[in-house]
Amino acid sequence: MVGFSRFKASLTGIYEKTPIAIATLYLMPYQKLAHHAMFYILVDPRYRRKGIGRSMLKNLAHLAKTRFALEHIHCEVFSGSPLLFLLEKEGFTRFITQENYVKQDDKYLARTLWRKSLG
Amino acid sequence: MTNTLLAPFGGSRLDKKIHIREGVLEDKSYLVSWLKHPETLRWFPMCNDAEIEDAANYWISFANKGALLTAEYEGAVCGIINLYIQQEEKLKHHALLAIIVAEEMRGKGVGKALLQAIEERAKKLQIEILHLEVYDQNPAIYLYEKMGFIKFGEHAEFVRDKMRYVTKHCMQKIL
Repeated sequence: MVGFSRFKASLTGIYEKTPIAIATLYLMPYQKLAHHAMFYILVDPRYRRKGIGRSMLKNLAHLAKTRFALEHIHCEVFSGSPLLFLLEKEGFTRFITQENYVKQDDKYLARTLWRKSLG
Repeated sequence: MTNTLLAPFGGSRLDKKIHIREGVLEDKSYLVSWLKHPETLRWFPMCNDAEIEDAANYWISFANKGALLTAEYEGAVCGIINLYIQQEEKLKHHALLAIIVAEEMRGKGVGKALLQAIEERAKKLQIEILHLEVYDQNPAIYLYEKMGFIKFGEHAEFVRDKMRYVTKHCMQKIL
């Protein structure tokens, strides 16, 4: 995730001089796909439900549009993720559901892909 | 593990044998030459030699994981298929596949033979679900449907090629 920092495609949220969140654009390695990117956001569990994820998401979308001229961004979320509520609230739309994507202890979870146009 | 399969379609195609063997790193040169064909490259995300080289290196590396198969038609290499084996334990029960058949060898049952062979290989690797990605209007969609792959989603505007957008379809088959 932090590997993309060398492209200046990663943001770190700081609270009282301590990193508490990271949001990263996974820039696509091919020119024909360079108009969009997948992203990941991770917030320190001790700092959740304080608007940090929302702030990271907004800043990352701004970075995607202004620095990289991306037209849309997307992310994958496993069922039950706390990010689902935030994505809906921020205007993302679900466009792919892949059942049984994760298998852990013989239990399966779906993944959903969400996208937002930056136009 | 080697399979020899009769070409599965009717007519004169049945009198030729398609041989499926383990893929090896040396097959990369075929992969690169096929990808450089414009009519083939339009169905892949790469657009220049450097991107093709990077993609081919990654693709062929699955030979070291027993997840690359090569088709020969009358002794000539004509197609390659692989499984992108997942590294994460939680995701190892499924795999994305990629397939390519030399432009001049299409319509001879090579694609179907490769798909059948990789399905058997996937089962041996304990893979429960195969999935693939294919761009809109790619004629291979009909083969995938015929082989039991079902569409489960699409990514609109996935490719932008000379200001033309192309949708990517996601298909899967439960083994």
